[in-house]
Amino acid sequence: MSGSSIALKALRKDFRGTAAVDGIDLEVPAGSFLVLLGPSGCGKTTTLRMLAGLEHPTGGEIRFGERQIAGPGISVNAAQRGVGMVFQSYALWPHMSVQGNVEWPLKIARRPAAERRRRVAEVLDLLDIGELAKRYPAELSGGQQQRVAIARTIAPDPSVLLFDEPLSNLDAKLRVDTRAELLRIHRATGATSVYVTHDQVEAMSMATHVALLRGGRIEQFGPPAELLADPASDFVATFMGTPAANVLNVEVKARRAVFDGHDIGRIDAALDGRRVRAMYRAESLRLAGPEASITATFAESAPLAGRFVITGTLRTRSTQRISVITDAPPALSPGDEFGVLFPERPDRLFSAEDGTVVSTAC
Amino acid sequence: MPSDTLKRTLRDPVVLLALGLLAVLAVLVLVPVAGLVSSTLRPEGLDAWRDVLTGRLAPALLHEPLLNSLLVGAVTAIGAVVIGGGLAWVVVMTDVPLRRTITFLASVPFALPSFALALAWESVFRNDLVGGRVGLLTDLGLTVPDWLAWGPVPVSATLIAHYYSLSFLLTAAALATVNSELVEAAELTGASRLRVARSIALPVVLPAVISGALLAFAEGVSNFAAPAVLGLPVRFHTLSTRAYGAITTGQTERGYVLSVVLVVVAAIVLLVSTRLAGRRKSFATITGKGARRKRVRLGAARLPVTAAVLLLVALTSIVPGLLLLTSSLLERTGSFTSGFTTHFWTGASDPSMAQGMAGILRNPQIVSAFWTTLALGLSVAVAASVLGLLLGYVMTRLRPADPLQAGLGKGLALLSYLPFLVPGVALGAAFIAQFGRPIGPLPALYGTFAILVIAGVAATLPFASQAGRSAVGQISPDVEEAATTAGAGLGRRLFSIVLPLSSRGLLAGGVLVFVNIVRDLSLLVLLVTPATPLLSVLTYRYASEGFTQFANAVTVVIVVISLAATLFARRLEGASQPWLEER
Amino acid sequence: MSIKHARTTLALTVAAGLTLAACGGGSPEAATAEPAEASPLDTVGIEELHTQAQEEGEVRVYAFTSRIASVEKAFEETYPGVDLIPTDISSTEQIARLKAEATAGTTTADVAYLSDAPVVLTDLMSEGLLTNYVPPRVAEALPKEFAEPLVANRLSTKTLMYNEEAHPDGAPVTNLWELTGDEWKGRVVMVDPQVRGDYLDLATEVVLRADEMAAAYEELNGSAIALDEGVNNAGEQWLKDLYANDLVLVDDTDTVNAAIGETGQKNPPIGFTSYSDRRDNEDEGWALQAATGVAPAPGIAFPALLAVTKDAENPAAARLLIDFLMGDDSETGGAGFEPFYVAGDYPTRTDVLAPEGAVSLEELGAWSIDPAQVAEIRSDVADYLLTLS
Repeated sequence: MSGSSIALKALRKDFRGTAAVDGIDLEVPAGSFLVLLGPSGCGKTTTLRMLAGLEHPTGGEIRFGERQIAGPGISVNAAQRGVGMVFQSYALWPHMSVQGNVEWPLKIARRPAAERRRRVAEVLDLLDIGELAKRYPAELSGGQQQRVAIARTIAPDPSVLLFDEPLSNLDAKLRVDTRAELLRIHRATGATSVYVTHDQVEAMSMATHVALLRGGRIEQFGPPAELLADPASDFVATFMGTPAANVLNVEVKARRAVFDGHDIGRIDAALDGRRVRAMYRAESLRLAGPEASITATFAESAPLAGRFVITGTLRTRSTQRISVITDAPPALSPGDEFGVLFPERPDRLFSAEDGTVVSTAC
Repeated sequence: MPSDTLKRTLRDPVVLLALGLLAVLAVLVLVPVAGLVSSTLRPEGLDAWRDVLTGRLAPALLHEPLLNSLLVGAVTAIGAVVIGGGLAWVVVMTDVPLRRTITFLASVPFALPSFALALAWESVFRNDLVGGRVGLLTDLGLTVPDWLAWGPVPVSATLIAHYYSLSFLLTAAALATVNSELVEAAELTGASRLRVARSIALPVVLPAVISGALLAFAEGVSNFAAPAVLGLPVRFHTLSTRAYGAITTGQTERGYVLSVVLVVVAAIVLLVSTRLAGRRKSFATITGKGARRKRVRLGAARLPVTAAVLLLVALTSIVPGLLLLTSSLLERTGSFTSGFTTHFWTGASDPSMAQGMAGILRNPQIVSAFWTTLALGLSVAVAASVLGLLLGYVMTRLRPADPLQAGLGKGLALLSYLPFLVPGVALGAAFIAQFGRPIGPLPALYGTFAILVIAGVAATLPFASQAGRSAVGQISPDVEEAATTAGAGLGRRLFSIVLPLSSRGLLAGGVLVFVNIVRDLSLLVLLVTPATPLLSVLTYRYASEGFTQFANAVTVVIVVISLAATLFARRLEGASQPWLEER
Repeated sequence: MSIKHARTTLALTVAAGLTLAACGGGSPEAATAEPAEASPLDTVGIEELHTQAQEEGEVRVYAFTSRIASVEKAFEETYPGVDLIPTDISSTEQIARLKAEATAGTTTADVAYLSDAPVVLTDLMSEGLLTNYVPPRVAEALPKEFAEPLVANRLSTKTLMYNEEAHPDGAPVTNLWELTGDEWKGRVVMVDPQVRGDYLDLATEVVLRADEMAAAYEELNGSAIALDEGVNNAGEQWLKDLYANDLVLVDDTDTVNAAIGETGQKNPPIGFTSYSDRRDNEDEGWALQAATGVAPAPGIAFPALLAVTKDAENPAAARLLIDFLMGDDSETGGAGFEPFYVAGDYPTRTDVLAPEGAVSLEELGAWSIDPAQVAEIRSDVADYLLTLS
């Protein structure tokens, strides 16, 4: 089965009168890899569960291709949706062997025995776990359990694959390997994938489309590069990127940005007298000596692709974390003071009231 | 829009299943309870309410007995949970030796009739208040104060000794599913073992602990034998002795009123306890992630802990068990010094003994009663466990966010908890009235084996549903949702996922049901016919004629059946859950 | 929807039915109300009954004693072709069961053999659930009080018993009022009247016989009794004094027997129990003996009742069985009466000799209760006792 496009219209879900998902609209074409990204409690898992048919929307609709699977008066049950889901906990059936776990959904789908055997062997091979077929889940390592969970999900050839933070239980190296593996499987199956995570790196590296959620609403929806390059709000700016961009509350006086009493650069738009939030990418800032007008307390330095991310806390009235990228490792120990130099203009300005973009002042 | 939601709710198979179960419980529980209540609302009943609630009789009928019942019930529940839960922790989570033996012995007390434990208490602590034979301590010349020989202390102590078994079985089944990583993780933080037990293991097994406490509470307040034997001599009355007394002395309405009070008290306790436990998330310990089991090393404490545990189980199982067996071999009732005889077991009819009655093994009725008892116990255990599984399932899966579903869940929980508290006579009478005549196409069931099974299921529902609830509560919803997304319908999920994963807890519950049915049930006395002889009825027959040894001999047979069932279930459990075996 | 509706209706109907089952009560006068229409079977001879019983084939009896089992063989030998199916079930449960069966319109017994006469008369007779059958064969030898409103085949007792090993010269008590004195403080044992009906009957009879109690008081103390405030008569006063004298209440007759009767006791208690339990003295190592010559009486004698159930399916066999259980024409009542021919129990028939080994009922001096009178004030006495304990 090949993938189908997915469309959500005004989708919402209330629990005890509180909205967990508060009106979501999005559309992705067949074969996409959609990542639902956001901090915990943003509604991403609830959205995924509504796609799976495990929760019923309070309002709005869901379409897979031309087919409406949830909407007013309609709720196609999970079995008829053609979805497969990989759970965060893997949710393997502990009383069935690996073989049994992968085969059972095929039995449910009433596939003939011969086909089942062939298909089980095929997906176990695809995931390189053929030799584990007779084992029980309790006898497998975390990574192996993960693979079984994936094998089980793709065995019935679903047109939509759902992943609920599938990597969060794996160690860092395995996580990177498994990301590649998942993409390979995504391509091999041709299914449309929906992937829930709070880790923007996963989103950046895997997604064709990212929906960043916050408080049950979509903060921004688009290709990952777009969220990075063109954040629609201060929230997006502080959530995306490695490291995420710095956003400072500044006051605009005579077209100058004033932060903590210091003039830190120009503002092109006519915003005099207003407070705005100014975004500075880490790579836009530069490191200076402690004699600079704005200084920070050094916290840590992490290497990143041959450069270094310096993180510290600004020594201002509002203690604010700040990240700066440098080419050379700094000679600093935690607690040392260092100066921060700002570029001539902020990379972007957001409204202090609602976080939306004020002007593209690049 | 709301009507749309309602429609969808009503299409939800879990809700439909819950509604179906509600209908079943209505027949099994609601009708008898409603009958009980409505009979107290007729003129005589209203007089009884007045007598019980107000006026000069209220202190004797209600106030004191109610306080005593609450005291005994609460102490029994706490004691049973502390002892049974602690024992379960030691057996399941630590490297204490002789685990199988301890587990077996700990399941003995529940199989013993409560009078056997009262007997054990008396044989040690009885003083000369009543007269006749005294216990060991008084015999040795020690002065045993009345509070130790009679009243709330011995009543609670014997009930705890009886019901800690329940708590142990339920908690052990739940603990067996705890991932030892959880415990190890906690230990690495430097927490003491006690602290680990309290903060990590306890929350995980909380549903089982609460189930055990609720059952012990209900049994504690409804038990008649212990307060009657050990309480009456110091005029210690509970609601159950008052209710029983009222019914046997012909004041049926008053007895029913007291039972209604008992039902209300228990309902409040149930609701309060579920509120206290809260709707905490993720009690589930059977997750899709495999779990290895590793035991906590007791180290230097191993020897003393082993000794204490063995002493506890021996005192509550071997001692009363032997006393019971010995009592069936005594020439004279209760006299351990006047000689022994096997007459009551195997003796031929001898006019000089027991009015010429032959030993029980020569009684042809006992063989037929043996098989009927076994058949009844098994039928009820299977039927009640199925019902318990379904009840446990819907109670854990109904969504509390939806008021309709939340209400359904509460209703089912309440209904399945109450049958304990309805006196056997009232429940039995209700069943006769209900099934005494044909219902539509169904023939009248009264007088058949079927009505015994139905009544048995109703009466043991609290065990079955609590066991089902704690068993299903251990299963992570993920594991089942994975099956949902694989396209499995409700029936398929229940059969292929929920049933095998909860089988351990269900078996434990099934054994409780079985034991309770074969042991003694006043309800059945009302429903049996000569075509359906039961061992418990034979005990009753002998006991009511003062043939204590015969009664004890039959009771020994019952205990042996119960223990055999327990052992068999354990074997079955091991064979059925290879994935839980230690490796 | 219609199924659900039907179910609800059913549930309500059943609930209502149960209500009927559960509400007994009624006035004691009803006990002596119009008897059910006489059956032609009431007057036919034994042969005719047997012939009809053979056609019926069986007779089912609820009996409050397991001794019914030993009657089974004798009955079936005497009356071939009639199968006796006994069910042991206590009087309390018989009452509940008969009421519930009546509600359901079914019946699983033809004969009820039960005690608890006061409750039987109020709860069952008044509802017409039992009918009386006086076998014509024994009618003449049966005093009227044991032929109506229901036939009784024997009397059992709850009477004052003592330990004859400790008191070889006879009863240590000659007046019930002695039990309220210091000598017997904490040493009088009985089953709690709130738990067992026959003990409540005993307490009730004491109140009914208040005048005799008052006379006995005067006889013992030489002065007329002074009643405490709120106490209505000498019977109630005695109960109050007895309870205040640390009366020991237990749950079971055998506990009373063992407490009083156990041999080797220096200072055994005294108490109320069944005279017939004396037969277990040897088996159990007891030294139980009934106190005689106690003023005004040592206790009560009460009937074991036989009745045909309402709508009995085997009416002829039922009557045949009742006839059999009344005993044959021999001096001891023969096989049908044999299990009940126990020293300390008393045949109601004047032409059957009392069993040897026990004093006669006259010599014992126990009050023979009048169930109807007892029924009238029984619950008031129960309430009164509640205020004492």
